[in-house]
Amino acid sequence: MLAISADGRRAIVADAERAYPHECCGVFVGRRSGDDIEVVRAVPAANENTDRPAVWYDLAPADFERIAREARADGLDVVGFYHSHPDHPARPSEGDRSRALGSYVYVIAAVEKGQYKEMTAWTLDDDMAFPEHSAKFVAVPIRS
Amino acid sequence: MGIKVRVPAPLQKLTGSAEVQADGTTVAEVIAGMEKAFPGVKDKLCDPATGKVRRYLNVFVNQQDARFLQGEATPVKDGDEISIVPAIAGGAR
Repeated sequence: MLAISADGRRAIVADAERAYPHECCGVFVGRRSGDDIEVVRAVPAANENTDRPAVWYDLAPADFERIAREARADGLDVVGFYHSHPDHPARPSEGDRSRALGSYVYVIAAVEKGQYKEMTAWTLDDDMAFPEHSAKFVAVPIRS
Repeated sequence: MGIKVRVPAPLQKLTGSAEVQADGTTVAEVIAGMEKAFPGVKDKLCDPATGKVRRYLNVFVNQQDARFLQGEATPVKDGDEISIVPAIAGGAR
């Protein structure tokens, strides 16, 4: 089960609508206990993709490093990531799956004509999956 | 004292924690040192064909991206911090 704070949800929606028609991306800071994941903060990061930012994101590594450091200072961890799908369903693509890592939760926010529609959450079925893996995504329920 | 290495969540089952200590005078030596303590870590971090850090990983030394330093040859000393930061990417198509 994934619990996202109200501020976290607002941050995802605002970032997804701001970035439209490009994809936004960000880092979840929170806690994980077994299958329960709590997102305390959703922190926007730069999408460094310049070739096709409407359909792809490359989360700025320096932002990831900084956000992880700030999380540790607060006694929290990086627990996952979000990105938007502009004018596309909130379903993971093959690119989303193949580039995902185990142990993290991935939220996809669908944006249609600039307006937020819905979000879904996913995690790989192998906690230790690292780049170039064959693990599959499974849906994670989001607590309403 | 050694080098403090911060490992991302998917590697923590191998290392047992989010932060480990390793010895070495370069990034490559620290990875080799980690492999001795946590067998299997190097295969996750490095391409077996080239021995280089995998393309979807970034290594930060004292908050600086090692790509802009000397890569795996970046020197490190006791008290330095290395962060292994996966390259996060994806998209609708």
